[in-house]
Amino acid sequence: MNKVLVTYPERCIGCRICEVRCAYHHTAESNPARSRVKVLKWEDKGLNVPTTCYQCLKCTVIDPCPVDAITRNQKTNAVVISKDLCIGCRVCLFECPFGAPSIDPIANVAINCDLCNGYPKCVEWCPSSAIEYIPADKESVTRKRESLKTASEYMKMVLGE
Amino acid sequence: MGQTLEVDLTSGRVAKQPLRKDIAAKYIGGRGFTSRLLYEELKPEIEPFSPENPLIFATGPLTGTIAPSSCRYLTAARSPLTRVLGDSNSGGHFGPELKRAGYDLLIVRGKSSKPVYLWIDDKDVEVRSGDAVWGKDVRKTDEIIKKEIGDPEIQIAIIGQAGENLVAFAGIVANLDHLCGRTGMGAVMGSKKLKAVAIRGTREVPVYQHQRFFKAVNEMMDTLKNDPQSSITLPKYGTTYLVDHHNTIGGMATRNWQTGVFDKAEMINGDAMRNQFFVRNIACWACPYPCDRYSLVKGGEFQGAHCVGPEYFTIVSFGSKCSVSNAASIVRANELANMYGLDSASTGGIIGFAMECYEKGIITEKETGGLDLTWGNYHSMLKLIDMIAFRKGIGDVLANGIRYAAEKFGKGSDRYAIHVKGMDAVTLDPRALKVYNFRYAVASRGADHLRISTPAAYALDEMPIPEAAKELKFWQDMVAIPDLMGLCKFPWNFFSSGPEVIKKKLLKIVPELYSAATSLEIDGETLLIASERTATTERTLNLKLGVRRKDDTLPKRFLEEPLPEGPKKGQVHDILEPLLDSWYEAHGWDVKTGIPKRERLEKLGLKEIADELESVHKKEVG
Repeated sequence: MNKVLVTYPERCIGCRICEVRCAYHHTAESNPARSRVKVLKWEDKGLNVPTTCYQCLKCTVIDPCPVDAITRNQKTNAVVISKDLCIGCRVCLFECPFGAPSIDPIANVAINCDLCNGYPKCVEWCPSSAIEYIPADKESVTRKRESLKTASEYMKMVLGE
Repeated sequence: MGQTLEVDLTSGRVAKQPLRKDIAAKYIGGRGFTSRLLYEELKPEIEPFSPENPLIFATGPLTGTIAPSSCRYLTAARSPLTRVLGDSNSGGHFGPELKRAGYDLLIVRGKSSKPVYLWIDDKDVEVRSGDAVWGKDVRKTDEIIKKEIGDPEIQIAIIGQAGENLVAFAGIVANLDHLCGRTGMGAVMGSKKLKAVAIRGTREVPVYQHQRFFKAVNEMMDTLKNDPQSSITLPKYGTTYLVDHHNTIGGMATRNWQTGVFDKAEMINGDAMRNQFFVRNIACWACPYPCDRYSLVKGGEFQGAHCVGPEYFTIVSFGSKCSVSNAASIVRANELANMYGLDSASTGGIIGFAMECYEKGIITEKETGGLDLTWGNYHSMLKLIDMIAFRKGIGDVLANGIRYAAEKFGKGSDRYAIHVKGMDAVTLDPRALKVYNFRYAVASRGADHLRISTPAAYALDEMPIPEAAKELKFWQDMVAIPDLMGLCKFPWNFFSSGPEVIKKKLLKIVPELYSAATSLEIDGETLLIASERTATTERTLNLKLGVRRKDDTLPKRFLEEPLPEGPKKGQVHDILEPLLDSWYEAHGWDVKTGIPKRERLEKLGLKEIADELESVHKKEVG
């Protein structure tokens, strides 16, 4: 089973260490603007949401790329953009329903999470386990269990304990 | 090396200069830079709200790197609260963004005729109309500017209505809840009609030797992880654990410092706050063990009130100092202070002062406009926060700070104005811990608990005074290191198991990080000298602005009124004068006047300051 990146907004503290580690791994610069993972913030709600590519099984950006710069890595299943082939047209940004790819402001090409070839740095350095790298089927079980917790709270609310 | 961005709001002129090499080498960064620049620029006739008073935003050499908690920036100017050196330091994500836009320093001079805000988009700098945001609170301003720029992830430092209305203890707020709180930097910003500084920075904070840097970073990460102070206490309680701690030793400021014991402390302590309001930890830039707690009031009268915090000093200021034990009202007070852009410490402190004046009959309902300021009346407390921010009624007097308010009220109220050099004291009663809290008397920005900090505070009272003064000076120089570097004092200093851990962090890991980042090799000794150089420069700046030995004192209450109860019952602070002598001696300052002597100044590489002081020396030292 392929492993996937799973993010847990409720655990994320918003320190952005993942962004720097990601950027450094890919560019040898600790510049978060060049990171593949991005922490979005709703400060008034105290909410941080780590976002990255879902590596969809039916990726919508591979085909539209006019220069065939986007391929799927057979080992990790990651959707990888070749920085040598990319012409920076941004078609992938528009075609991805989640806005996963972004533009590297220094190299001026599109970038996307490549799962660090199977050893994601964001997971390695996240201090609050807000990103995990786990088998896709395990994710499903985890989510089912978590949804039960929500359901039981709901039941308590409805039934009054 | 980064650049200095200079903006003149009178003319609208924007200039960029390389960072001055002479200052960088001697003063490292952050507070070192601001203190030196203020020393060079300020004169007695430049008033806090003069256009000539520069408002400086400074980062440190490590700000915005991957070093843990390298999140700090500092704002500095002549303070409207103390009328001497003003500076205040904050975390969050603003400092790193300024650095990533390419600037180590931002200096704002002049005064705009209309409300404006600054938009810094990497190298492009624009002064934009602030009409849409003037008069708005911090949250609303943040929302509007992000919409106007079209980027919700930019970083913005904002003043609320308190800064606009020149409240002497207004702060500058970033990330909604992170304040440069102390000494009224928000009012200086308001006097320039500058509502906000918004930044997008997309460049790297350069590091010279990456491998070496990462090695030191990893060593710090391990040190933090293996120390329960930083890895457990810090995220669980932040500073709130101090409520129980200070109350137990009998030094928790209660009812405007009338006593050191608050009988309802367990209603506002770390556990009470956590159990009722905790939602999740929120981190500043690159901080693995964040102290910030997003708090939400989930029910009752203040349902929906939320903020990041409250920190210990906020709890003391709105809580025990005002005899308020309603924890939710403290969260609400903190929320209001952050939205209006008020220093929660000074705000709660001055409300406590007003409550005591009310108790003593110095002010009555006539002056308060019908407001009942009986101890513990949190509804009146919340109302007063509004009145201060908008300068309504008695709030107009309180808004000018505690020293001014006492002068205005008269009738001996100065006895209840617990301040040094105009700034109210915040945390621990000097009567309970005498040597340690002597720091309020000598700190360069008034009654300040952040200029000296040591884990061995209790042992100081047992030492001979000259030794204790030397020890205090050592910890003054230590605690300045994070200020110079752009690091947070909490993981790097306060939250450590003992002095040895702190020495390892500040004198071994920090020099390694600095050397790897800048290519300038430095060691712990040299860093301590840079700290002392900074403190001495601050001293000479304050001398220039009128501070003398007589101003290095403690409020009468601490010197004359014994603590009425608790484990330190009967104690007064009775060692001020001998401590002052030893303090000056430890610094190489003239004992009679507190003026730095030429010999020490030259040793610190400050010959030019010694030359400038020559006439003062001749007149006063002889």
